[in-house]
Amino acid sequence: MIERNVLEGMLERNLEAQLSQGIQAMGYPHDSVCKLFRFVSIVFRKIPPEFITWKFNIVLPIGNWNYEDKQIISIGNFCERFVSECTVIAVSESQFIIEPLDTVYTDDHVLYSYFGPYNEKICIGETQYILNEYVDSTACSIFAPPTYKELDEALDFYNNRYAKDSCCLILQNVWSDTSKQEFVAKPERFMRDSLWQCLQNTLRNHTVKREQNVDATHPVDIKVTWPINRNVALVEVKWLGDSGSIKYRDARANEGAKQLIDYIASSAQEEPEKYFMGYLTVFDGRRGSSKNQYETREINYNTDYLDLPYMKYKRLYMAEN
Amino acid sequence: MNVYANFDILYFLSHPRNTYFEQTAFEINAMLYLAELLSIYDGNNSTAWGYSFARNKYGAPMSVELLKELELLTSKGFLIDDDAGYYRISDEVDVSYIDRLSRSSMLGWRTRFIDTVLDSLLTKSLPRVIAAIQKEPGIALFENIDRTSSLLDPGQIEELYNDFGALKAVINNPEIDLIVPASLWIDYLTVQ
Repeated sequence: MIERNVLEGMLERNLEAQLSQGIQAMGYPHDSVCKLFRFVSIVFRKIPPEFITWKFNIVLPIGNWNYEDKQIISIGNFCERFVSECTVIAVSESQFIIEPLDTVYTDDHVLYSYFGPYNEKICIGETQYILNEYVDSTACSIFAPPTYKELDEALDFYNNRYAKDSCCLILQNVWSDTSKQEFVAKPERFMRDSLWQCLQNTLRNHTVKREQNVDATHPVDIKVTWPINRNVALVEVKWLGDSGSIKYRDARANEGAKQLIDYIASSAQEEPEKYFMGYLTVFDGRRGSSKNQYETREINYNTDYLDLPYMKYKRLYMAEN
Repeated sequence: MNVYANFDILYFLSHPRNTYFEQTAFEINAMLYLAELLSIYDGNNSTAWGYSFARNKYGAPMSVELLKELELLTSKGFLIDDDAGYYRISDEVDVSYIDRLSRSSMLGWRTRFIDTVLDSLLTKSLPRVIAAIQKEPGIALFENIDRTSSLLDPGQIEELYNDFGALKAVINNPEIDLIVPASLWIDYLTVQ
């Protein structure tokens, strides 16, 4: 049975719900939110936000605007005209008008503004909605969430976008303070949840689950299964660095490798029809006398472990400020 | 041939708003299952959808009718599948014909629910939405006990009606766009 109090809390933080209420309060058509979302999405399909280095607005006109004396352009020509700061009037999903960024509109409209990566808002009347307050995303725009078909690609994305700068809301909890010198006690739960959330949001055509038992007594941190075929990836999370009196270095990573190799062996025994892969994912927070001294220093693994074809090793370096 | 399954696949994959122009059978099944859930939320009977879903050995939700139509459409050259199992619309498909079908009284009513699925993918990634759908109570029940079973059967549908009743009560706004319950339901399932 649904938990109503949870749902009520979510309603307050749901972007579509809040914008729809704003639209209704202004007496605008109820599909205005989707119309705006569709046009913004078209823009980012034409030019991914990673390539847009300028500010721009998108105006969704409400009601009958007078377009006399304005040049209406086909969406097919969007890339040629959208090259610098501007306001785009979304005439329809296939037509637009370009005007200066600072143009002021007095007719009814909904306004989307892109100021740069992770910095976008929507205005309905006098009310502003900062989009990152509603959607926990490290994508440059919430309208362009990245997805990957391969686990390795998704892990590389996680490494570059999340782990390196500890920029996801969950992963920020691993540090004892903002200097990022030392982990809190038992930081692995935040690392696992952050990685799990990212994989679940970006990895296509796989099932991603936390804390799955590999045998009667041992849970692996994350289990990734491929629907249809019989491949399974077991992802074990470990960390290197300091946490109070605990100082984990290369030996800890080798312990993790041994543990995961054992998991693979017992899993293969229990489910011989499946093919198991091991991904040892090590969050590397080692610190030295100079800043980011360990950024390029790889972990020394036992060579016997490195030779195993079903094992992969991912070091996620967590940079100092 | 199941005309509803056939149309839904073509309409969904050829839609200009579909940001994922190639999708696996698993992804297509999950998205069209969400469309059926939205139809039920909107007051339609589950049998009206025209084909059924189940949890089978490959997981859930899967529809035998959709899988057969994917095979048929591929054999006729309307879909192209690659080695990784991704399907996309081929150039053989007359999109204007699908557009005409989408305005027919027989099929037109269901496009609203597929459109809402596509709108829900504008701010939420496809993997995230699919992960949420797999936590839908009817699916989660059989997942937990690892049992194959048909979904949305009379025995289970009552619970879904109760959940959707609670969803409607919390939103408390009958005039609101269908994207709101869709988005809120996905958010709720995500944290289950």
